[in-house]
Amino acid sequence: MTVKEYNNAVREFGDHVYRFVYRSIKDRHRAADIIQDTYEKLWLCVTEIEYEAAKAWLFTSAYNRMIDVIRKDSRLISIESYDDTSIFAAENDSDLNEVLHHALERLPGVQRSVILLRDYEGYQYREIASITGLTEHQVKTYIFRGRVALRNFLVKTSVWHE
Amino acid sequence: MNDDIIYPHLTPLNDRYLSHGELYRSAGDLTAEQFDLLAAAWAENALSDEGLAEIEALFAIDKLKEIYAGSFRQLRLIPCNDRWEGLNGLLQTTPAARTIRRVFFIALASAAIFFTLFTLKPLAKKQVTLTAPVSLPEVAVISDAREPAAPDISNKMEETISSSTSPGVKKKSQELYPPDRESTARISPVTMIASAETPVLISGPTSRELRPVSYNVITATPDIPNDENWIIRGISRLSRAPAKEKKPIDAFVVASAFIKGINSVLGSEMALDKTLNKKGDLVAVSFSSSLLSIKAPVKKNSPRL
Repeated sequence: MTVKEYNNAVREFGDHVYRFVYRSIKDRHRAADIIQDTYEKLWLCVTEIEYEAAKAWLFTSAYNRMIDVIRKDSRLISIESYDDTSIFAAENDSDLNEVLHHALERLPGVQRSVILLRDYEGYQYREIASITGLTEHQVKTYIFRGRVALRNFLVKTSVWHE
Repeated sequence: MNDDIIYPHLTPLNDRYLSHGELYRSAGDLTAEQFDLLAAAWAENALSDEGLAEIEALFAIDKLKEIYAGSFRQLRLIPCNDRWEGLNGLLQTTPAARTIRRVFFIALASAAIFFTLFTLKPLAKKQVTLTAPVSLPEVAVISDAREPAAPDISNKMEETISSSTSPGVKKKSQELYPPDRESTARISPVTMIASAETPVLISGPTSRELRPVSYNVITATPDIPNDENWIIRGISRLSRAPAKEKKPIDAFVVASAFIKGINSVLGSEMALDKTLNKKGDLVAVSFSSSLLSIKAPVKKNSPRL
């Protein structure tokens, strides 16, 4: 990858990787740090990576870095221990997308990441498996379970009715 | 010896499970959780042929389940407008662009230095001298009122006026302009007649044709002493300003300051050095940077740098 291609990778994928990381960990500063580290890593091995593979490489690297950060800081909220007050705030918001993002925060980290990669970036299961280091079957399972959890969450908070 | 004797192994007997049908799972046997997962997979178009057949069988039995499964299709996240602000900070410049930029700046700086040196060299010969103080002529403010009135004509005019005007007017005129007041000479138009340049005016209308004019009271401007008049004071000060001493321009100092300025702005490491001989005379001037190094000898008869 040339310097020009690297700059293209910054301009083209920077926001994508950022929003994936930010929506996964919900911390702007940490997300920015992770992206910074990821691009520094990319710059160090810029000659070894092809531009076509840069996006997947960035997502993989950012995901791994994010997992490290999450492991260090075990402040993840499980879906069972959500705070009702924030949900009721979201309930007033008629935008389903907004509510879904609130619900997403309550999903386990892996489910959240695979759903984000699937919905935000439109990756195939195989590509998601490659980024996250899971098998394709695991990715499918996480996505389906995540969808069911999101739906149950919306029903539980009366945003959706069965 | 054959292999059967050396490696004995078991051969399966003809045992069979008679009720195969009990192992099959019908669509109706699915739990709610299993159906949810199946519906989520169906909404993702990720079901295999077998799974698809199973869920379609369920939909055929219960249409509500199809609607329920269809609701999973609405559970799609749309990317929010999350923008990374530090994006531009990670952009890199190409090595070629960096080199071009560096060479350009150094070449520009070198050109500027040499231009400065060559421009200021001839000036170094000449001694800069400020212009000599200009002595402005002393400004004298002389009031018209102090000029002596022309006695003959004014007297004549007064006689004419007194003969042609009523006694009331005359009295008023005398009250306003007493003969001993200095300012009367200024306001009297007859004063002009007294000057040598205006004989033509006098020869125009005869004194009989003259009519009395109405006078406006004009108070004489008080004399301002020269020390209190700021204009005169300013001019006087300027005229008395002391001339500065003759001061030669040191081109080397100017060029060094210029380089120092460029170094501080661009962060480069350019330097301009003097080379002196044992006597302390200037022999050469050298310019050095990370990319360029020039040494220019100085002629003995050249002006001092």
